[in-house]
Parts: sequence; structure tokens; C-alpha cells
Amino acid sequence: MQVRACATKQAGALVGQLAFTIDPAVKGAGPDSMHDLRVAMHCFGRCLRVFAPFFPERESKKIRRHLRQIMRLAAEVRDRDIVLDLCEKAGLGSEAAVVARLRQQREQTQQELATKLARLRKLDFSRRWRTRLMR
Amino acid sequence: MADTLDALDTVGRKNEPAWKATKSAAANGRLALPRLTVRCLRAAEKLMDRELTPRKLHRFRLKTKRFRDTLELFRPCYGTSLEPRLETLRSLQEYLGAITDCLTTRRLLPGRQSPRSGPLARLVKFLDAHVAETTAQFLRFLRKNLEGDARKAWWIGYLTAPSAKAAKEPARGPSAPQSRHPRTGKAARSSS
Repeated sequence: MQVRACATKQAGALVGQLAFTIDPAVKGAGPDSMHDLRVAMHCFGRCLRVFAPFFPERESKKIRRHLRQIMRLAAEVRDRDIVLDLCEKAGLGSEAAVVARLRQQREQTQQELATKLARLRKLDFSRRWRTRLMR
Repeated sequence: MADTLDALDTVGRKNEPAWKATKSAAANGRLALPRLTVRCLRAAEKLMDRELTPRKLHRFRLKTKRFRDTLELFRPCYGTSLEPRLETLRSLQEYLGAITDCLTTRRLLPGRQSPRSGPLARLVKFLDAHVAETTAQFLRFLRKNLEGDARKAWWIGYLTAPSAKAAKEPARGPSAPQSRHPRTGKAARSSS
């Protein structure tokens, strides 16, 4: 298989994988679905960078900008998940002020992220991105 | 071995690999991946030689993350025999991730102060102990799996070998990686 074909195939598969992780994240599921979303976005973004010469530069840049925006929000949610998990391990109960504050921050960011993801899903991003990258 | 490493580490340091469009993905992998491996191994050596700081650990974590993701893109070319290498990197990242988690937690604590008592003090104490323990485990793992010529040959020799040979190589990895996730305590899972 030629390297160009390999790049396109991998990008297509990774967009599919990303689309698969969006639904649980929109529904506001727990830390695992957030982790899966971040991994899928990271892998797809990495594919775009590694195989950059084989994708249209402008389209690739646009897609990466979308990914960056979502990644920023997803990272904020994930950071809170991690802190909450470590607080629990350290024996801090949910009544602790710091835990309550972190929970609230997590919910707010999760809402923001869900709105962004829902918008992206509505645009049928996986089909669009695949088409753009195959040009 | 040092000469081989020098010869391989010649491509632009910060750029992504330069592909040859007329060649197959496997041939491109054989050209580019050993170079990336050399950079990663060099970074590991540097890390072991110097005093560890959160910044250095973070940089190394990003480097191994990028390296592993790039390797994973070439999975179809190498087949299942690539798995032990990926597993080594995965375990390495689990340690580094656990350390980063603790540092992130400290960053997110109100005021980033060092409280003397109360629940926050308990948390800070827990985090410091966890960072110290995981860093020690990480260094042990690094020395065992990425240090020494035999280990380097295990990586470079494999990645430069023709794919058919590489695919037939028995899946013998370095020491069995941790089966438990250092962060959650659950079985570590693949990210792909």
C-alpha cells in the first residue's frame, strides 16, 4: 500500500472512531467517555500532522482548529475528573468545599463542551471531514 | 550502537517525518520510524542523566505520546509484533500520566498554597507521596526498558527490518508491563 493511501485510510478510520465517541460525550457521560473522546481527537489530530503532505493544507488546518477548540474544553473537564478522583482517594468527602466547587466547574464546562459537540454532530462532521481530506 | 544512533539521528529535529510518496507505507515506516525512535531513546537517556523536574517530565511525556501515536499509525505495516513496543510506551505513559495528574491537581487547588491542616493539607500530602512513589517506579521502568544497547537494538533493529521479517518476529517484549493502571488501579487499556 502506498503511503498516501495508508494516510487516507487511517484518517478515514480515525474520523469514524471520533464520531463514535461524540454521542456519549454529548450525553454528559462520565470520565471514561471523556477520556475516549480525547484519545480519539488526539489520534486523529496526530494523523493529520504526521501525514500532512497528503491532505489539503487549508482543510487540514480548519479541521485541526476545530479539534483544538474541543480539546481545550475536554481537557478542562478531564482535569476536574482527575482532581475529583484524587480527592476521593485522599479521603476528601463530597462535603468538602473544594470538591463541591470542582464539581460545579466540571458541570459548567461539560455543558459548554456538549453544546459544541452537538453543533459539530449536526453538521455531519465525519462525512464532511472525510470528503474534504480526500480532495 | 552509538554510531548507528548518530547516523539515524540526522533528520530535522522538530519536523515531522519527510515521506517518499512513491514508496510504500512500510518502506516509509522503515525510513522514518527508527529516526523517531532514536530521538525518543536519546530523550530518555537525557532524562535519566539529569535531575528530574515536572517540566522535563512533561516534555518527555509529550514526546513519547507523539512517538507512540505515530507508531500506531503504522500498525498495519508491522502487524501484531509491534504490540510489545507499543505496550512499553503505553506503560511509560501511564506512569508519566499519573505524575501529571498529581501536578494538575495541585495546580487546580485554591490558591496553590501549602495548607498546614485540614482536608487540603491531607490531599497535598497524599499527592506529594504519590508523585514521589510514581517517579521512582517510572525511573525503574525506564532503566529496565529503554536503557542499554540491547534495548536500543530491540527497537531499532525491529523497526528497520523488512516488514515481513518484523511481522514474523515472536512477540517477546521487555519485562511484562504493569497490568494495572497506576492512576485508576484498573487494568490498563489500549487507547486505540
